[in-house]
Amino acid sequence: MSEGLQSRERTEGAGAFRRGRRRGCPFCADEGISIDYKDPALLRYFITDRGKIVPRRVSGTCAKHQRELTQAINRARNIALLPFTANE
Amino acid sequence: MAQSEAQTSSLAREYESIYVLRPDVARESAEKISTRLQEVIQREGGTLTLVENWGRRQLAYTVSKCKRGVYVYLRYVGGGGLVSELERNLRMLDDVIKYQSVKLRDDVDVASLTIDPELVKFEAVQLPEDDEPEESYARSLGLEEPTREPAPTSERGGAEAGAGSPETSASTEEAKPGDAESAPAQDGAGSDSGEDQKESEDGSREDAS
Repeated sequence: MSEGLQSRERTEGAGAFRRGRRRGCPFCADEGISIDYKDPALLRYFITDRGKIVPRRVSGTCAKHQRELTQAINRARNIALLPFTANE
Repeated sequence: MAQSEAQTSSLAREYESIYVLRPDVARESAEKISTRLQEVIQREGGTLTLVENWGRRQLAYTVSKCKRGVYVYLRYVGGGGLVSELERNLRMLDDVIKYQSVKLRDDVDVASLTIDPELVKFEAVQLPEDDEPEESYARSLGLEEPTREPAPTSERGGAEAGAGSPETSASTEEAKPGDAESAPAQDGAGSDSGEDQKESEDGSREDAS
């Protein structure tokens, strides 16, 4: 199983073998999207299955919007709209 | 001090609060809580501008043994003392399991505010009966296979522009914690689970002896 994982890593990972072009910040690309902690559906794109915040180098968001995103995710977590961890 | 400032000038701050009620809260007590909070806001010299009842929602994690909660959203203008007084009241109410207040804007001109009385009314949404059965004890222990609910598909369109990359990368991130040099970390994870197994074996052995 670990072998399969590693081969997938090589083809899909964000390392030297990255596929596809690097995307810019989605919030800079579309000014209409506002980062709001009351919108968990949007924030869910920026957390992993386990509930961790996706890092900038992976999601491609700019520093400014990543800060806003982090604050929004933390607020959403506080009011139980988003999980702190996967609770399974 | 902030309060006197707010009173002398007509500038105040705008806040929003969300509070979560127990899912089995009675309609009357939900209304009672809402009117009590409205009184608090009035008493402290604030102005309520918006009340929304979001209805019963799934919580992301259990809070006071509740898996769901009734979300109520308030928006109001006032001084800082108002927020602490409101939160003190929320803390005292037993039906409120969670609350959070956030400052939205500084320097809001109170005189220019127009309040729609319809928006300030608390509408107790008819809560449908809790049709989802409580998780059985055996299932909570992981003895039974949980039946998967279909994933909610609503509200996917909003972030179409940037949705692709974070989600796919999220799954790859899952597969490999850390960076490209995560091979040792993965090995660690593998041995971890092995240790867990060993531990449980140890435990059973101890039980046997």
